[in-house]
Amino acid sequence: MRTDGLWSQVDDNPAGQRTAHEMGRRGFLHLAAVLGAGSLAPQIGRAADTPATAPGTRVPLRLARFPEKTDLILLTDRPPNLETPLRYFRHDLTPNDAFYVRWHYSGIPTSVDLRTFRLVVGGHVQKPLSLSLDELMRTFEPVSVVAVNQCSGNSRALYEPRVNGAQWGHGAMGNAKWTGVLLRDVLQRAGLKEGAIEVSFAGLDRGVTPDVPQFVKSLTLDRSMDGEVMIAHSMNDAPLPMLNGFPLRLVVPGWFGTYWVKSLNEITVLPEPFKGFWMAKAYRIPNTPDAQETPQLLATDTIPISAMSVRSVFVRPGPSERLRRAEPIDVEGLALDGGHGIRKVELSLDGGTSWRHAQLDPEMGKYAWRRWRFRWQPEAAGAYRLMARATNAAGETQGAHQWNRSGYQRNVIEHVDVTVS
Amino acid sequence: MRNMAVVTCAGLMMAVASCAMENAKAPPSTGAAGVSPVHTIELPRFQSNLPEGPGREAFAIACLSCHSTTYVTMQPPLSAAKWEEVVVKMTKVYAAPIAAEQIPQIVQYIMASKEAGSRELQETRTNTHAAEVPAVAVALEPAQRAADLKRGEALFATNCASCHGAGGAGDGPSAPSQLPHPTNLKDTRFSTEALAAAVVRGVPATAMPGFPNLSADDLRAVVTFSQQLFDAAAAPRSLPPATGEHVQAKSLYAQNCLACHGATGGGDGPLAATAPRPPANFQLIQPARSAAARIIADGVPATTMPPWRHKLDNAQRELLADYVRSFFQSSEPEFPRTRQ
Repeated sequence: MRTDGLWSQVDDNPAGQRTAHEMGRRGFLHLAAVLGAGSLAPQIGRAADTPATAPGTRVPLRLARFPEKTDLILLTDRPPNLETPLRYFRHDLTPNDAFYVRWHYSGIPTSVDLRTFRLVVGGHVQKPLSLSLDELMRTFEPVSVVAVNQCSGNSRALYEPRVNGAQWGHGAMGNAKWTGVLLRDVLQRAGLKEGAIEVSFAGLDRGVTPDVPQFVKSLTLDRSMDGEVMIAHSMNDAPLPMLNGFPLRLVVPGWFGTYWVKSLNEITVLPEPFKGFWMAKAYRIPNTPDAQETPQLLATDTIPISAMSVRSVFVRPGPSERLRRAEPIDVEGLALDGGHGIRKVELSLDGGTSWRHAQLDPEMGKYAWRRWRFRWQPEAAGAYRLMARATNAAGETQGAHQWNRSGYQRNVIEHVDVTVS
Repeated sequence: MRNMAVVTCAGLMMAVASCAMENAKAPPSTGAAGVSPVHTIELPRFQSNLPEGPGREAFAIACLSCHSTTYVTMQPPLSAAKWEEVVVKMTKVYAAPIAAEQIPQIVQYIMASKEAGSRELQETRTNTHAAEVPAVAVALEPAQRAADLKRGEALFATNCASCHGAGGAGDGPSAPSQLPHPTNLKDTRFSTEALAAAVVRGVPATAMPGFPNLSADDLRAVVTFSQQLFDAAAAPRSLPPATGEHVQAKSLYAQNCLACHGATGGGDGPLAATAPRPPANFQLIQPARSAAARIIADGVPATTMPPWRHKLDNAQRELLADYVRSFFQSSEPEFPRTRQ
């Protein structure tokens, strides 16, 4: 198994398109020589020749380095949407500078003055609060949780048929230790008035004009008071990067990242259900098992997305990685769900004909992802399709097909195609 | 008089410089003693490469004020019907400043660009020019000024006219292909500081390069020449609107303009740092009345300045044109145009 820098870069792209950007001139020429014509490997930089609608195909990817970040895959620059290269998922915790970035509006905060920043808690409360970061950290009990944050549209580029939206590979997620205070404690200090039923959350980000719907999410009061939802100021024991929501963000363990409002500065307790755009119209999924519908028969009943589905992804080998016969390779990956915990991950080396158990790493917490690994020594040369299937403690498992019009909540059995020579 | 001009220039330079320092990256604050409480990042600036084709300008005006072209280029191939659905959603949900009749042009442009290969609609990184801008004072003594104008005209013809046009109207031979368009130097009053900064540093997210290695004399000469392309005598300074109108203008400005252009027009609003091409600093530049009204109505293609004609009526836009012109601060002496 190749382990030099060339291949670690190639691993980063589950969609399988490589560019000269990603590997440098020497690497590009080497790879071109190795692949030759008619190989299983994807075409390089020849977008016109590839089936551009094929799942996972993306325009030639580019890396970009944004402030407080290392080189990440650039989906968009304004507003920034930056994807984590797959190799960073070979660690229990995703480093802060590699953690993915996702913003809806280009008016993102680029400067915060902690002397004047306040988290305002108001609405249907006894006593509105205006808390500085310092006050939040000093006067509330600190809590920590290791939890995975995953974008609702993670892996959307792999949808078949394709859907529009941010064309993420698998890298729109990350596992981190979040430290902060419980939302419950803050709400209790404000005191809930009789009739409070929901809580809305807003941050510092804005659209270019005042007419766009501000990014505001809501939770039920029950969820808000469950003792798990957190207002986090730190990520992996360091302040949040600006691009991940400095100085505060909401952490909703087990739920998709859309609820983890960044640059959180406004909490409003509500006596009626919240009807804002980003709950009532956006981020809706079919009200069906696995959020499933078909293009021919779209669901008429939708609900807001919430808890994450059980799923698993390969971290190594990278797609189209060339392996050597009789040489052992550490297949590894990760699995996650909405908080029941992973019971097992099964691995197929023969395109789904037979399955065996992968070895699970110790749990980091019920809301963290679960890493898994399997040592494989391929006996025969040829092409292999590796597949992984996770099952959680509630008995939920992954299926072969899943689709919805928005590309949300992907949970199909993923595969990676490799060649053994 | 000369000393006053120098002091004023230096004073303004320091003001600009301190603004730049506030935007410089500061270490994150952990609340610990000695650590700065202001946490700032500086975003990289990207510029769109918009291939030529029908609908290019409509696309640049309608879409790029809110987001970059990558939102289009990253998509898988979609049908024209699907793109139309997307564009309509932009207008209905996100208040995109698009007239209904422009939608087919925009869809046409997107389809053609995607078919040509998404590579065509790429973005390239531009470096913010960190070159130091020396203090420049235009010469007031007639003989020196005449010499500067002559030298400046020659420099302009060689270095600037291909984009800005021989007369500075933004109509040089390269101009049509460039988005954003080269600035029309005839319809905007530039302070010496603003011109010097643009010449030395270039303008981010545009095709305007920086010329950091000009000699002091050459810089003064080209600034002197460029500055007088604006016919100051023909466009008297605007006075602030009458009281009642001023209140209304101020309110309109606060709602629609302040986020980018800042409370005192300094191009330093809360969203300014997210604009690849910095929003205009009206303290240092002053569009002619007609230019201000036109830009407010039409926007500036391929920048974050949207067209406001869909949202604000003529009277409102006229008020804003006067209001933004009232921020201009330079007390430099004015000269009539001596060259065409």
